[in-house]
Amino acid sequence: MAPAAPLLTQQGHNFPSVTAQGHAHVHLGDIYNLGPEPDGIKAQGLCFGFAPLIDHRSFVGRHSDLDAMMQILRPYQASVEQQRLVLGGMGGIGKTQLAIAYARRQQHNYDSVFWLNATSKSTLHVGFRSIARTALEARNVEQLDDEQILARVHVWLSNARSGRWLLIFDNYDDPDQFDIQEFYPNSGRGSVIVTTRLPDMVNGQQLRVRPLSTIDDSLNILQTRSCRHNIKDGEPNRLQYIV
Amino acid sequence: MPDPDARLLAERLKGLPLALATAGALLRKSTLSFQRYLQEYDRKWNLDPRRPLQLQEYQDRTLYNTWNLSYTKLTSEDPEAAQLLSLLAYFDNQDIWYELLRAGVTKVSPLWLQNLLTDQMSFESVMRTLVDYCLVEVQDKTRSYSIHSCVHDWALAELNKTVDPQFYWYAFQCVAATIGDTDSRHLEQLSYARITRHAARLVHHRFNDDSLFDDLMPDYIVQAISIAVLLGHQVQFVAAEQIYLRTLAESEKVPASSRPVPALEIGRNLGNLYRKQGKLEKAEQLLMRALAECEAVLGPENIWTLWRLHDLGTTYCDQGRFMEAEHMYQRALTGVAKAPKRYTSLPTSTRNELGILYRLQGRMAESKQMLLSALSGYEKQLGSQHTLTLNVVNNLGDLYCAEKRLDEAEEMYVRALVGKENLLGADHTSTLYTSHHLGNVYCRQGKLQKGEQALLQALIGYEKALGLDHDSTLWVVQDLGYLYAHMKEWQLADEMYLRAISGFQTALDSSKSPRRSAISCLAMNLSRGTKINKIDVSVVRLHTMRLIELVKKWSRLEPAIVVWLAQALVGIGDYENAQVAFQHIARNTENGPSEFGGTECDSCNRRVTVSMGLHVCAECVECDLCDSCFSHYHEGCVASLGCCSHKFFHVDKARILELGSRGDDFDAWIERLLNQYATSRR
Repeated sequence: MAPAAPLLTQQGHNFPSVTAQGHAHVHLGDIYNLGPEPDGIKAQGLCFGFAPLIDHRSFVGRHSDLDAMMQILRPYQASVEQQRLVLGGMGGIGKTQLAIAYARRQQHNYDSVFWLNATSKSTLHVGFRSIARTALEARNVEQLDDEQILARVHVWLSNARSGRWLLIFDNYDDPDQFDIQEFYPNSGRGSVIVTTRLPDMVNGQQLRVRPLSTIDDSLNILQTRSCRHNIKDGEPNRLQYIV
Repeated sequence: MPDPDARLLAERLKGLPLALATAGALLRKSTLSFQRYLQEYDRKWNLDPRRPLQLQEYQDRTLYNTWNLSYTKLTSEDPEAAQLLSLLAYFDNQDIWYELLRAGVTKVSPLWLQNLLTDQMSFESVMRTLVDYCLVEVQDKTRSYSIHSCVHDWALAELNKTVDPQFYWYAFQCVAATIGDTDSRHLEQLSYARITRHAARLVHHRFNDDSLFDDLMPDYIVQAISIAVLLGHQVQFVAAEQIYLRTLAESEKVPASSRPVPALEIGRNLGNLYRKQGKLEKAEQLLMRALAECEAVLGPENIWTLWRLHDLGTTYCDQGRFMEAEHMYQRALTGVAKAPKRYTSLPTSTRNELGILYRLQGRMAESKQMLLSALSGYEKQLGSQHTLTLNVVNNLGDLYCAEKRLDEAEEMYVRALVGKENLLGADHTSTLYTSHHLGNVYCRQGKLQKGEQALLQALIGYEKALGLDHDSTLWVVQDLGYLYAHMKEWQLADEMYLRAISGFQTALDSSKSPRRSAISCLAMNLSRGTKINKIDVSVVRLHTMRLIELVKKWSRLEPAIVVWLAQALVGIGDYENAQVAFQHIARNTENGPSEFGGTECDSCNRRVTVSMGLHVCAECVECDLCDSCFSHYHEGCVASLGCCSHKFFHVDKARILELGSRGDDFDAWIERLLNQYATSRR
């Protein structure tokens, strides 16, 4: 079984971390034994997992941010290069919800969208394992270790039949602890969004998320959350109108 | 109706979705009002740190630990940046710049801070780290830094669980050193608004801790006074008051003889501050004491003593005690004339005040002379674009307005307003004052749209600076009511009058010796509110009842309010009692029946005498005409008043003259009237 590792490299796959740990070869065959390839694209749709989802009505404003994200990620364009977007801003500013709103709004342009908690290495592995469960259809997912799962998901994402995908790496706030790039697939058929409080420490096109710019957006959040009716008026009152 | 406090809360949380969502979720689960939530938030930040509220979609994230995470990492990465962040909780969050922080460095400052501030580069590099962590933002326009208000609240609540005296006094020192020995006459200007925010932070309730003041610096009193003066000039009255009170208490710990001379300023400044806030009784007390102290310590001829005479005069003038006010001003002027040194700023200021006083007394020619002299004085001393000069310009506008020279008044107000907006900004009370008066002139000129705009600007500004119930705010509300009645916006007019009525009622109820102006304003608003309300019978009756009760209680102190009762009675069509009311008004003079309490004809602008006859419009807020103008009225000569088709009530001359000199049945009549309206209520 030993010669398997060089074989993998020769075939142009590039999994340095996997081969270095020396066990990728054990299950090498499995990668090519995913079962019969279906004819069409295996779209997974929106897979938000444990993402903190809010009611879409509770998400307000942010139109210019969503436009800017479109400009950077160009979801409507078949690209060969992976697009990477870094959403930066302080805690509580709404980076996560912005990323989710983008995914919801652009879901027709992606075959699969996966949300991953990037707080730490271990939360990421949990996330990749859940992708593996839904996407790989392999029976023995539970027996694979973290690195194997990661490798398989990467291969799956690189497969043209997996279609266009979007990975959201949420809350990558501790770049010293681990390098998030290890978790990116190599394929160009998809896009990556990273949300972080330290945007300057992450590679990719940066978009700074700012506080909501209009008071109306703020009042809308208060209104939907509090379910109180004395927050906004149907008609702007005279004072607001004139000032 | 939207709750205005919801808007305040939204502004407080500055567009931060997590904070807004947390507040909303808490409000959903509780009965707290928005106002109450805001108070609690300011007091405890995020309400209950032991049981922080979690949003259902976030498993472990609360507003409380949102930034703790960043902070923990920052502490291990760059401890100095972390410490600086804690220090910044003692400053305002909006505008932080190098020179401000640098100004406070002394030999006793913490060493890390001294090092960090040795040059701008090292300061910038630490701030850069905070920017990298998204905890601080760069403000390109002002070339400074800012912190999101919620992060700032957290920094004070979480990073400074106990107040650090070293940090507090460092911030104090920064503010005091930045003010330095600036001439206090310039501190009103907009350029000092920057430092004012940081000065106001020093009286945050968390810093109201006696132990902080145990070990005071030797310069404390002088510096605290300069900070309080700045706050007072920048209309941060509450903050200024707090510093004065604290400083007064500290200075009184040592015997009077060993107090530094500036300590004499505290009582005087605090007195003037109370006067500006309309708390005239307190102001008078303090200023009397300040005068006595100064006379005792410095002698009656000293310029400081003379200034106190001037201050006391201004307070008397505000109280309507014109004779005493004039006496004080004259004493101050005489004192200055006799002084060995030549002083210019006191006599100029006193002439300005005398100009105001004379106008209030109707001595227009003398008023004009005083104001013009004050204007040329200030123009020479300070130039034409100084706030004190512009105040005199405003006062000339008031004079022209009183003389009904509206175009000249407008010119003065516009000149003052443009200058003040440049120097002080649009939110300063001095600017708002001019805006209010300009609005009234527009209204009287019939430029109603412009009038509304100017009055609304004044209203919003006053609400922010002085609160909802301050006299200045209520006066604008009342004038807006008048304006809306002119625009035939009955609903809006009614709202304004209701607000003015409840405001003045509160002022009246809360004071032991109520001011005559509060009584007459209340009467006027009740009367106008009655007249314009054509729909709601219960409101009309309620207003009328309250007005009768007010007259019963206060007409001896303020006889003019009977006129407002008479007007209201005309408005509701009770002509018989209106006639009786006008009879009482006309007879309530020394020399037999003569005038109608100073009522003027709105066409020829003369004071109406009994022999001239009086016609009162039953529908308009204020349209009174004499016999001769009324006869032309329907011919269209004075149709500009716009109520040609309205019904007018004609006061019966013969019945007034019949009754001869004053009678004593006024009380009996009021009592009857009260009963009549009380029984008609069903």
